[in-house]
Amino acid sequence: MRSSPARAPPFMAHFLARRLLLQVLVFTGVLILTFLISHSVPGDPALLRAGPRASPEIIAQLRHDMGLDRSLPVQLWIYVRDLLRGDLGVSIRTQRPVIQDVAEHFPATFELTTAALLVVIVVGIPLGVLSAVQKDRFPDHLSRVIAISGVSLPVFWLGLMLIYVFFVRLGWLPGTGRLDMGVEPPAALTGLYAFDALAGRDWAALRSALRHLFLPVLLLSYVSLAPVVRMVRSSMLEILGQDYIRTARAKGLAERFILYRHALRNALIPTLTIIGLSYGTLLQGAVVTETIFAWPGMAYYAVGSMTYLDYPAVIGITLVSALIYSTVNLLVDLLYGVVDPRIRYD
Amino acid sequence: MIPSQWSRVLVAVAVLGLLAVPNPAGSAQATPRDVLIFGATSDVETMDPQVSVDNIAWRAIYYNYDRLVQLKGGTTEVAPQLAESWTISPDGKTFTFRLRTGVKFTDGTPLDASAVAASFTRLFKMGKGAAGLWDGILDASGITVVNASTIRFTLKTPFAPFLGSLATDQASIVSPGVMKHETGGDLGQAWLSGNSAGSGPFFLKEWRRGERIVLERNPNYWGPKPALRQVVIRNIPDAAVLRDLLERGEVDLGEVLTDDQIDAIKGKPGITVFEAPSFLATYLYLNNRNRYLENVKVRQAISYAVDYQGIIQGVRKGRAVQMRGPIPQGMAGHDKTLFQYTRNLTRARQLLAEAGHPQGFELGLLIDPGVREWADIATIVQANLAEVGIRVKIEGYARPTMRAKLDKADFDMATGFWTPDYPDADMFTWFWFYSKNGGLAGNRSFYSNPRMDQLVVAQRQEPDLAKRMQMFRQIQKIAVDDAVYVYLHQPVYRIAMRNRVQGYVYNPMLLFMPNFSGISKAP
Repeated sequence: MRSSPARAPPFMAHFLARRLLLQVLVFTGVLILTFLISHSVPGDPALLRAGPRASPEIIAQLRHDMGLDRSLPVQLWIYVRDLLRGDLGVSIRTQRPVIQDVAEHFPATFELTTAALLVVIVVGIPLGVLSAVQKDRFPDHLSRVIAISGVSLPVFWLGLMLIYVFFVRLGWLPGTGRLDMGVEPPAALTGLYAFDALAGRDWAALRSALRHLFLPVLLLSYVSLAPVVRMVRSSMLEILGQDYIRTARAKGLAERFILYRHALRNALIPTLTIIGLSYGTLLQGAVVTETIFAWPGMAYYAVGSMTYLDYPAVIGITLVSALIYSTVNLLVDLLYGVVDPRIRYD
Repeated sequence: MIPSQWSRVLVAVAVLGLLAVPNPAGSAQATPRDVLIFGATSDVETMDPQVSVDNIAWRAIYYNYDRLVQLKGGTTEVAPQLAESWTISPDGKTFTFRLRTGVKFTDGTPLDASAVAASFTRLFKMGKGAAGLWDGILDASGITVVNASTIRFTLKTPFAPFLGSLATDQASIVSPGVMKHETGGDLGQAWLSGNSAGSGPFFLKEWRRGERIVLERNPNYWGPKPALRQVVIRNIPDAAVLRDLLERGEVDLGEVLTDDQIDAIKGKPGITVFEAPSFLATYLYLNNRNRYLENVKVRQAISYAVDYQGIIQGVRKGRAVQMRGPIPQGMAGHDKTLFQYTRNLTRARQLLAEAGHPQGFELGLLIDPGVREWADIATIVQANLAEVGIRVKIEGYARPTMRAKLDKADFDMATGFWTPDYPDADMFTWFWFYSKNGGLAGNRSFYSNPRMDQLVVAQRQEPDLAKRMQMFRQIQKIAVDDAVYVYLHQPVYRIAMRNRVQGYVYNPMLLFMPNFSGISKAP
């Protein structure tokens, strides 16, 4: 069943090469689509850049400087050429290289979505298992209600309610931002405040960072919980009906051992796929979450850029998001082999 | 078993829950006495004064720089700053400034005449919107360094508001040291967008985008030393959250943009709400190229049909005054005796009939629905005009699209705001009525009248103040008779602060830009 150690690397390399090639194709598609869409939106970025009182001459000059007076294919070609040199262009809104802006906002989003993903895994999998084991009984109904309400309630409403209850009414948790006023950010290592504070043993910053993470992570993980819970539940139900589970039970194995060693492990494959895909949901949910909680991440930056018709920023963010999403899913594909050694990459 | 697994999860959740315990310091947190926490509901885009055309960004930029002149206290009067004195040639075209000596930028570069020249040269070379104020009036060729402490500006045409224009954020003097940070011929734009390079009472110490901007006192400032060591501009997009932080004392001064938030906080212990008239003109553009609106009688009919007081009550809860013509009340040149339209439906219907439209017609009203005030105004105007037979279709577009449509005259009517950059009625006349300014440049009604063109250009070039004021009177009369725009109202500017904040001075020219260098905090 297990491929021999000597043969594994070529298979893996082959698989990786194919996947990376696919990734490039997806990337090119995303690039062309985003470029065309953002350039066909009515409105003139030069007008926005120039500001309210600019003369027609200044606007015309800007349009020229920004390359907006060239044909669309030429603009695309210039963009791709710069992109290959690692240049995402200059943001119309902030006047800085987009890559710099993205680098500054990325850690906040990464921190938020990763923490939410962890919560989704830690809460979602046991909840799914519980649901399957207690099928059609109260815990099952409860966990399904929790999961479904997360997808059904509007994110912005839920976010505002969380702020209202925990910040305005109770005063337990901060309402916006990443750190309290008097707290200096921890020495920058990764840009993830909680991680950096822990690494640097900066307890004040850690406490502040975790407190600020709490509500946005709660919101984001709650709204992304449903697919994981449902997938774990249905796969577990399917597997728990299999012959080998009956055999295991007949052998008198402990129920806990059966559930975790035999059932859950096999139910994890489809769950992993869902978790990989749900990273996309998390990135999506981050747009609303970051806006509500003034969380200065990429989504927050993206919303500002969109209302400004800042197309270099919009394309840059889309490309980076596509890169993150496809990388996460590539990792998931590689994880299959860890969870199930029978899976071979050829 | 599952229960034990479950309990581990519960323990983890409980530990996280402990984090929810409020800060030991309690909720009424007092901010340090020498640090001002300013709560802002929107973030800054760029810190480069020679790029930015955004009042909100100017607040963070302005006090990092000095200018040749400044506005005196809360007035529109021009006083010396970097320039100790100046002379103006009789033809109003040559301005010679004697500079203060011994001033240095925060980067150590001496601030002399060549530095001032380099600063304006950068402004004109970049040619961003910020340079638009002097378009056709001054460019790099008109700047002469006479000696180290004397600089001369030679204008292409006389421009009466020139001195006042030198007090604007766009006229900030940027250190030539910025060129050390130039990349790819950008004249240091990428660097200056996130740094400061001035000689002002503060400098930009830290900017965590989307979170906060920290301005630190300039220890070597040549002028009066600010009482504040730091100004922290916190980005708090949600007005309700900002209000709460103000109430708790975690924010000292907050720009709460909505009236209901201010009303809710007004009268609370420890809070002062400052209110004063603003120069923020709120008006409707009437596209004169429209087949109906090109007729002056139709424009007058609309001006008679609008319920000005209803809008002031409904939209601003009474906290605004109706405009009397284009020049706001409180600005030199405003004519108090000018005719003011009030609601008169009989007269409106009569005018429509005279214009040949007794049955009315349909018009679009362009707005950005993201601006709540515009959406509210549009609804009222729609109901008002329906009473005289004009069917209004409200067309909502996101700002970039709305602006593009305005610039191309692709609209019938639209809502708008206008604030002056420099303290001069020129901002409300030359920009609004000069036929060559059609579109976003300022003449948003695409109005064209040769007599008006002559007047708005002549007033700019008139060195005699009395004659100039006489011209403004004529301009205002035509602007109202021709009903070029619907002049709605000037709202009251409101800002909430803790009682500890002292020395706040409101200058209507520096809207959204509190005088950080003059503010202090009581213990």
